[in-house]
Amino acid sequence: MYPPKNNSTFYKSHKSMRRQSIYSILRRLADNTLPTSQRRDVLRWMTETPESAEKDEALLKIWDETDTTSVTDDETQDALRDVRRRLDIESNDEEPHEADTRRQRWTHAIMRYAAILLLPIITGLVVWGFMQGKVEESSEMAECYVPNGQQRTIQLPDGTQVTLNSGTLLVYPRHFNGSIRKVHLSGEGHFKVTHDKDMPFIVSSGALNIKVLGTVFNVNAYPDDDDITTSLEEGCVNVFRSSDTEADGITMQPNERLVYNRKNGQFTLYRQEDSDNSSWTAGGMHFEQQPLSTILRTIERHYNVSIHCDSSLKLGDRYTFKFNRKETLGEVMHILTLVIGDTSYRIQGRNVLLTKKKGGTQL
Amino acid sequence: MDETTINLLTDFGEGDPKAFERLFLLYYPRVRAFIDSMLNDADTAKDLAQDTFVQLWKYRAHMSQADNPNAYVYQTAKHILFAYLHRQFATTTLEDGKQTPSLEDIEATIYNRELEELIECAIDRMPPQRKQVFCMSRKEGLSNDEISQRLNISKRTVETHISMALATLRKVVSSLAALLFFLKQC
Repeated sequence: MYPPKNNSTFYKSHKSMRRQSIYSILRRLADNTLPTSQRRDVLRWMTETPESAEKDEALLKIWDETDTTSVTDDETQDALRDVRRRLDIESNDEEPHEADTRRQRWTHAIMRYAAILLLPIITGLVVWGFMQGKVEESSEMAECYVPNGQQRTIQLPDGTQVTLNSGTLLVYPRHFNGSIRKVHLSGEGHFKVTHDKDMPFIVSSGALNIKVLGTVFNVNAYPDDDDITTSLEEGCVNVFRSSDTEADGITMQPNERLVYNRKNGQFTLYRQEDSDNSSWTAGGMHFEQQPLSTILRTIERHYNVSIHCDSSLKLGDRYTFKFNRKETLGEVMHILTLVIGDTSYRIQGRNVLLTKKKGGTQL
Repeated sequence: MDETTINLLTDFGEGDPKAFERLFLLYYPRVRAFIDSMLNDADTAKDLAQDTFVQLWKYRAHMSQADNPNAYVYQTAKHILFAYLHRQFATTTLEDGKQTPSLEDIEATIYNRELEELIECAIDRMPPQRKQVFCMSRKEGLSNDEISQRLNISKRTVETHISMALATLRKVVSSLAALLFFLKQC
């Protein structure tokens, strides 16, 4: 059926694919871009006997490509001295060598004095950098991602408690140092910030920064929503655009809700009698005068489903709902269709269909 | 092969201390950096690099028969590294009873989807030139020289781009490892 030519090219390409694959695995090992858990397996596989020509070829290529700039001349000289001692190899040219090391000692001494003189200046610069909060970003970052259909509460290194809603990513430094504590939020989080007046806490969500000293508040900043909503429960926060300075920001009081619209860049401040924006932390969902589009997206994340709806539905209409944690997806959809009116829903696996009822309107 | 290389090999073979020093200065950084890249442990790499030269000196008589010092030093360094790893595994295999994984096993764990996506995403977000340099180096397999000629930038710039790109990827990989650990805990 197949001409022999095809077979041989197949064999050849299979072989070269195998060679390429072996090279790229060893390349990742040498680049140190393998997770620690996998290094061991790869090393074990690399050293298995009998040795294979393909691995040897790949390793020789990596050897030739090895970046040697990380090895200093000082280290090489030290190592040479050690190995000479181990092997009892005398340096033939004792005299000039002695002079060399003497000169080297002199330059070393000068460098040492220079370093001692420079030390306070360097320390000063580093401290100044910390004071400016510029060094803080360089600390190693950790991230917590909560998938759809789940919620999670974590504690940050400073003791701050954050509850993350479905489909949320929080990126934070493993250690808070510098003059500010800064975290990045994409999604919704409820923060109970540990008080520290010397180290303000900043939640950054792209367009907006929320700065606090220690307080309880909720931030809703999903990337697929136009609005970023900050609701304050206790204490005091300052909300400002990332492009502005703090002085241009808005200072919020408890029981206020501030909505920032990413599209037009405008702020709207609401007062609310019961601060229920964080009722989701108890597992429920609460919507107050929210557009249907936002409500549907929240349900999608909460139950990890996709909602497909009829184009005739008015997604901009605003509704107020409160669901507790015991309510199932079916119950929530049922109530929703009753309130919207003239609609029906169907759940198929992870998909929900929301459609206008056909066959005339009924009251 | 040029005359100095031949001289180096014969002098080394005959036990000339000067030839030893020249070979050492020429190859120590590569041996050390190569072993370190495999073990990710600078102290052990320093020890093993020294062992490599001790070995080369002990069997220096073979050196004069070698026709390529680079390949010869490489083979010796690899031998020392593998012997070290075999000792390490011999003491631990008994405990965990693990079999040596096959190429397919390795491929399956390394190329898991999340890691690939994350790495691609991180490469995508690099500055344009760094991204280009990195892809030419690691995906097309071009050497640093070729890249510097093609893009008309210095070799030093190519090296800087690659090392910064790798630093980014290491961060990505370690944060994913932390994430996987976190998910397992839940």
